Amino acid sequence: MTGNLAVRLHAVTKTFGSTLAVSNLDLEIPTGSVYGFIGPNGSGKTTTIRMILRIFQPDSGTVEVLGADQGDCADNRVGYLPEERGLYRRMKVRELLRYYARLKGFRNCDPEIDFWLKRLGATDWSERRIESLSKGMSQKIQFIAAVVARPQLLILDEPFSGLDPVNLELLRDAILEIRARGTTIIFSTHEMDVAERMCERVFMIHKGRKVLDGTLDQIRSMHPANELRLRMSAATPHLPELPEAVHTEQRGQFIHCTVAAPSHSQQILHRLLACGQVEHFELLHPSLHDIFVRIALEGAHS
Amino acid sequence: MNKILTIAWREYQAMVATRAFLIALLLMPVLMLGGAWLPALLRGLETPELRKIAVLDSTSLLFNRFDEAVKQRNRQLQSKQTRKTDKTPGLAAPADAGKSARSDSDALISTVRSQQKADSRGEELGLQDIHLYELEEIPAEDFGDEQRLALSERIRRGELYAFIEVPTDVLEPRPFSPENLKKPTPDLVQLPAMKWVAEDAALSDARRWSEAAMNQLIRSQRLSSSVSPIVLPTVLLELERRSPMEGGGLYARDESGRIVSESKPDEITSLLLPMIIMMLMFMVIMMSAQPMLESVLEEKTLRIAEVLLGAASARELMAGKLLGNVGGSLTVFIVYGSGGTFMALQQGYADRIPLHIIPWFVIYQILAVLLYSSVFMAIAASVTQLREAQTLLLPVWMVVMLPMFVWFNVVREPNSALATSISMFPPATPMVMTLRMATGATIPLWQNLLSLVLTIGCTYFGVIGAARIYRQGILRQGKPPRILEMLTWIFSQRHRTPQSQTEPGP
Repeated sequence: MTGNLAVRLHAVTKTFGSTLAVSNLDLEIPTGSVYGFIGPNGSGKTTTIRMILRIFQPDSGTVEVLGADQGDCADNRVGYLPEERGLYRRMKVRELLRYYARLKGFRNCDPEIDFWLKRLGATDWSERRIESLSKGMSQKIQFIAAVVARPQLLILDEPFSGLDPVNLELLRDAILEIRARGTTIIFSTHEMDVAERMCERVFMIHKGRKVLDGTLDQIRSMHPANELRLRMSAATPHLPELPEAVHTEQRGQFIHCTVAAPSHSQQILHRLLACGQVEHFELLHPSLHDIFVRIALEGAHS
Repeated sequence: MNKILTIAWREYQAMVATRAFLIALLLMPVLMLGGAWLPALLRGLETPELRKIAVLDSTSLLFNRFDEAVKQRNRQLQSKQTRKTDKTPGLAAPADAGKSARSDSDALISTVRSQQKADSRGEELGLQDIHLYELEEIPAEDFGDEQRLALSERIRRGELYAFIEVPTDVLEPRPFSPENLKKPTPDLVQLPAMKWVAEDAALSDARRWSEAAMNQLIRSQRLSSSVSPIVLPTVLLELERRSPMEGGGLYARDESGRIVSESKPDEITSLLLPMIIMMLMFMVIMMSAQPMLESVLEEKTLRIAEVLLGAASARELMAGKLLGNVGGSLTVFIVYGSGGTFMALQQGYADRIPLHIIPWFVIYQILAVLLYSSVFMAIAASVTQLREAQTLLLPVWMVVMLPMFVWFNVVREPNSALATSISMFPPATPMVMTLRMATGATIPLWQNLLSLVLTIGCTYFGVIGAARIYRQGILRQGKPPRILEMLTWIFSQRHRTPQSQTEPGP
């Protein structure tokens, strides 16, 4: 392991036939972090995860996972929750969890299975067949299958899909609990608000290339606030001329202004105050969702 | 290795501990061997009918006696139906119940004929047809096409079952002379043909029985008219006595030094037993390969493969699955083998069990299961639906079924060129070679060894090729590959990692 890195990808490239899936990717995931993988469909996210899991070998570059840079399959210390549920329908819950734990070399797994079944309120299902479970239940079992062997690196691909808000909170707490044990978590998701809430660092891949990588603050600082939300009092007859605004739009009770630079907001505020009473004035920082959409659209246009 | 064993154990449990497997285990022999008893069973359910046959007897000498024979057959059939234990041959003499002057001699002749044919299949044909018959005599005068048409119409209306034409010269064949004896032609050897007209003329049991009965009558008639009645019963019967040729086993020296015949071949050891052994191999292959197909397809469609490949390499996964599959196949063999042995012991056929081929059977079984299961596995990994798999499996099924088409020829001539060459075709070797061995024929050792080496080689390359297809196909979604594309996967140098993935990653 290089320093305190759980995963390190260096100049990794992967092609499928003539399609470039991942291009010259460098990525470093610190031990104990919750690292968000975001990106539109077909961007190379799953390919990157599969290379970390050793399901795919890179065409060039190195993939170092928990200190090992070679191997035919994922390290026993790596747990994986795929986006699509990978459960044998005819197996019973406990039997299946035992199987997945043993595949990871974890023989005496019953106490851990019992702990997680209880933790997720699934003790009653332990002797039920997978095919009799609802989608949410299956999702919980899939999660237990990923964590039952006490992994040091846990890769979660869309872990919350199919869960109701109550179970979503339950699973979110469980993930944070695992993180508190020191497990590094890679979190792949489409839901930007989830990524914002759960992840310390975010990596975005688009068309096989890294377009974002850093802490949320770093990312936000790279994408400064450029939108104002304002409301004038009812006595103010009309909005003054705002030459600093690139775009103005009425949305409900508020007016949204896009500015070329955050510093222009002060000039706009002066103009508004000169014109009448300002009831609401807010500089909006771009959400991860906005940044995601902006990058994706820029990529599409280019 | 632990991962391989873990996968193998799950695969074994998934294969063996299912209701479907237990049902198949019970049903397979019933379906396969039950086919032999089914016709008899269905015949038992059939209701006998009284059918009418019109006979044009141009000789005017045969009708009455044929009529008597038919009535006798009816009586025997009815008697057999009421007393199932009655084993009286069906083709009885026409005149042993007769009242004519020749009744004694005819009875004797018919008895001899019945005895001669007692163990022949032709004899049994008379009573395999369960229907009763009655005859209607057609006047021979002015018989022509109009009458044939009228009779045919009656057959179409269901009033008549068939009509028979017996030509006049059937009792007067061309005499043999020293000249024509040197060059016998068919018209000299055969009698002039009678004609049987019916809707099922080609395959009718009644036609075969009538032909046999009528020929008996014709011969009897000709003998009685051309040879002195005093000589007939003694000389002719003596002349016509048949010498049977019994099958015997090879001779060998036993433990006490005596030379004894090894065994007396019969239908069970020469026909039924090899067939059962071949079918056992077939069942073992099918009951292993089919679950493998379903298992891999399930893992692919439910994306279980992705989880598994995140925990074990494709090589470990495939090895574990094949190992579990071989274990399951050996379970099938043990269940059927012990069941068959138990039945053989119960029926007093313990000495017929060919113990010497068991090691060969197990080796060939393992090779066959590895070969076919890996092919089924590769196909399942390449497709996303069972329907697509079935299309790709068609050529594989044809190869699997090949021994079924030739087994009878192989059993009859286990060392023929056909049997030898097919047993050297590795995908068919396990079934055909064990079939040949089970006949008891001496198979040259070089053939055993060569076929074994060829099968090991074929299985080795088959498993390697299947592994490459499996690795390429298991994570692939979308439309199934063409066979050519699958071949490129096998021969591609970059087989360590998939070359394409149709489904884009999220």
